[in-house]
Amino acid sequence: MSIETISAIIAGISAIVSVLALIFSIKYSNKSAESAKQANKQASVANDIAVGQAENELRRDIANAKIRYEDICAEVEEITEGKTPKELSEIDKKKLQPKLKRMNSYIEEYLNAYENACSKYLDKKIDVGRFKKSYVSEIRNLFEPPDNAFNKFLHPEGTSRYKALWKVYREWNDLENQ
Amino acid sequence: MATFDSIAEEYTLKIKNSAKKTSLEKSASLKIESIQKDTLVLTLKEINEDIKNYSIEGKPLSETQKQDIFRRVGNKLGLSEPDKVYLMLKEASNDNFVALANYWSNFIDEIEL
Repeated sequence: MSIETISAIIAGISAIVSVLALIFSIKYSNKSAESAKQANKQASVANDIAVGQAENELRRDIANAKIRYEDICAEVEEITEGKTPKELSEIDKKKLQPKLKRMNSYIEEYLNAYENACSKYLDKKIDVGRFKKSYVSEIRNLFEPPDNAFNKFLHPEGTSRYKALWKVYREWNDLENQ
Repeated sequence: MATFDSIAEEYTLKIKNSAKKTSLEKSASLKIESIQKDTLVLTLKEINEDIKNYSIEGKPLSETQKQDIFRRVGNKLGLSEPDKVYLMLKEASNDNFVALANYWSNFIDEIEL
């Protein structure tokens, strides 16, 4: 076999190896792109799950605070028995005192749940569009009319501990631009 | 111009789609079900907000008018108690709770402890 023939065979083998290397590289690069796509998809699902769970949790916290308040209202009703405030006896008033304190603390709990929800909204830990659609009216209800049950807990704004709630209320109701 | 019936039709479709979505997700995955079980509640919240955009001669709809629309929605959904749609909507918002809290807040203010 001449040197030229051997060189030609070697060149041929090299070419085949190069082509095979190219085929493998394309195949693996496609596979790795697919894996990356799959990983992204999984990450997106995981993110959706986390967001969904966070939204469920905050709804549950609000609902639980509501239930606790409604329960204490029922207990208060058992004492007042449909009487007006002026018709209550001293004994009634004494019985009411601890329950009224609990009423206030449940209102605070209720507002705390919204505060937590608003913090998550501001930190974009939940779906912001969906949160706004679902809560714009509820949050407005907490602030308006200003003489409502929540007023003494929310005001004055400067010293209120419900900073996130105020921020979201102002953002959605565009109060800063009025 | 929108009529009570056309508004009711629109809301019926929204509720149906939301219910369909929820049931599809339920069959797809248990995890997704636990996340999205409140899809219907969210739709009701949205409807509760959307109805506030309608007015007659510049006046927002009264509660009786809203009840009328939601009764139509209940009928279109084929519910045995169509009036319950209105109550479901109230429950999906905090309107009732705020009214309750305001009532007791005023009551407490008037008590001389």
